[in-house]
Amino acid sequence: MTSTAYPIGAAAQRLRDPAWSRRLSSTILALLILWPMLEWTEFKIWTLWGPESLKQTSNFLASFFPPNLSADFLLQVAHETWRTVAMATVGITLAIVLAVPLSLIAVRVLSLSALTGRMQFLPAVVRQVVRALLIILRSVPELIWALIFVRVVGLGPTSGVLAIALTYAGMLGKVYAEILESGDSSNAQALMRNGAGRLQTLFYALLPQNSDELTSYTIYRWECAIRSSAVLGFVGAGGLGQMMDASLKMFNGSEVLTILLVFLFLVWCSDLLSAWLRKFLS
Amino acid sequence: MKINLEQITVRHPSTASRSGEVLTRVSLAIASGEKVAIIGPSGAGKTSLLHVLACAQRPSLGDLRLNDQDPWALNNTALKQLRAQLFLAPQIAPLVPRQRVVTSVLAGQLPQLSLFQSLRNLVYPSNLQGAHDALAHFDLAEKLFERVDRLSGGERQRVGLARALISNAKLLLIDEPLSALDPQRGDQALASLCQTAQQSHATLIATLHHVEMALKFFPRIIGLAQGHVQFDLPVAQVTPALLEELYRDQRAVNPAFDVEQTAGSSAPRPAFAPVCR
Repeated sequence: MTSTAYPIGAAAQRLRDPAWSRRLSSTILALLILWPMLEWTEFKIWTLWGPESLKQTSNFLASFFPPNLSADFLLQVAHETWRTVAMATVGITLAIVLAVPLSLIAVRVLSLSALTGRMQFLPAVVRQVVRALLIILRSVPELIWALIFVRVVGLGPTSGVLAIALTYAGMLGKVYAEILESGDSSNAQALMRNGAGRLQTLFYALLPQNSDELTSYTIYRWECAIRSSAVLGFVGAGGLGQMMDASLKMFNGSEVLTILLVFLFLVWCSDLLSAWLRKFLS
Repeated sequence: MKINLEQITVRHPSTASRSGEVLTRVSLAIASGEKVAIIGPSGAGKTSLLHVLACAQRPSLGDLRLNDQDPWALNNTALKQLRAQLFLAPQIAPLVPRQRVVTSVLAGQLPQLSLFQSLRNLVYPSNLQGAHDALAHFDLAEKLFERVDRLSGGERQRVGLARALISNAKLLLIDEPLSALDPQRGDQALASLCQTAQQSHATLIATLHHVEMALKFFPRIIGLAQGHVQFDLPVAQVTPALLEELYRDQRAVNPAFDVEQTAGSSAPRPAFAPVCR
């Protein structure tokens, strides 16, 4: 049947994958852009294996061993770990509270006017304003937010919590909106076309459709918050970070290693939690 | 719901057709409570016509009236209320894979529920019986608490139809309800849809590739080809010659084309004995 309609020889000559030339040119373009970047960053990976740098690195690392496992230090670490986890958790919770309404405003799938072509003017403007707000929130590094809040509320975890909340609200809001938009939107569309409300659509189509991705991204961000609380500790926001700062300043490598092991443990825990939650949800 | 289409033209920028028109000057009048089948070759514009009727696509030209109202002149609230009265069932049932069947079916009632009621339904469904009965029409009652992603394609399609059944809409727009169903299930599905439309005085419009099923269940047949209405007749006046004509253009393009292929059945050509209901 096909052979009568399209003689094979002619077809083979005519058929060419139209995507090929674009793929080729974009690969070449990417390489052309990347090469000067490597030059500008003076990226010379072989210096890592130079004998001088190897010696310095190994000296530095050797000073870490063995980890400090004395009872009163561990007690102190446990106390600060708790504080770090609390700081990250409270921070991320505040961030979620901020991010959810913002992402719902920003998300295009839940726009009734976008169902049939273009979004109406006012909603489109509001959406752009919200996106801009999310960009502002996350383009300021949490370190800068923390430096600001340390001056407002003083030294301690509160400034860390606020810093994490603001930056992470920007990240969560953006990515929540993108997750909701990148999933299959036909279910949500069908409900709204049949007259369901936007929030009804959210709870009956978008959330169950994307719950996996939303959960795993939130847990991953919680993990990031734990890590960034380490950085925030350096500017006096308390927690493990402040401890590590103190240990590093006193060249106490064994204490640093203990704290690093705690971080490893916390990240591992968040991985387990994420896997378990996703299993629970599906 | 009463429907009037006057010279409706739909252009689609991404369409393959030369003029870019998916529908060309389609005029139709459908009375409240009528049951209409739309048939025609693939790409004839059947789905676009349903989308126009469902206010899912705005026509480029022409006048659309649903219950004597122009939906595109309504404000957002009124349009939403109008949408709550119609139900568009796409060809591929829009079901969330992770959802349970009961929730998916009850989603058909969302327009009639407040936000609070619909959230409460997520905690404990208040209309279990309704969902059960709707599914029972399609022999799926035992799947009530299954998850959608455990269902076969045909089962999902029937869950989508159960949602249409429970929606209580005044205009049912069903796109290809039989694409994943065997003949027996197809009979059952169309019978249930017709019966529900009858009981709730709803207008039922379905697109069908199965010509013999359209002739069997629907008193009025609209033949659509290349965006034009070729015929719009009571089923008794639809002759094999008209059907031949309807699908002929396709044959000119591809000599291997056969009516039976479009009809999706390898059975011998039916005698086209209309059984009006």
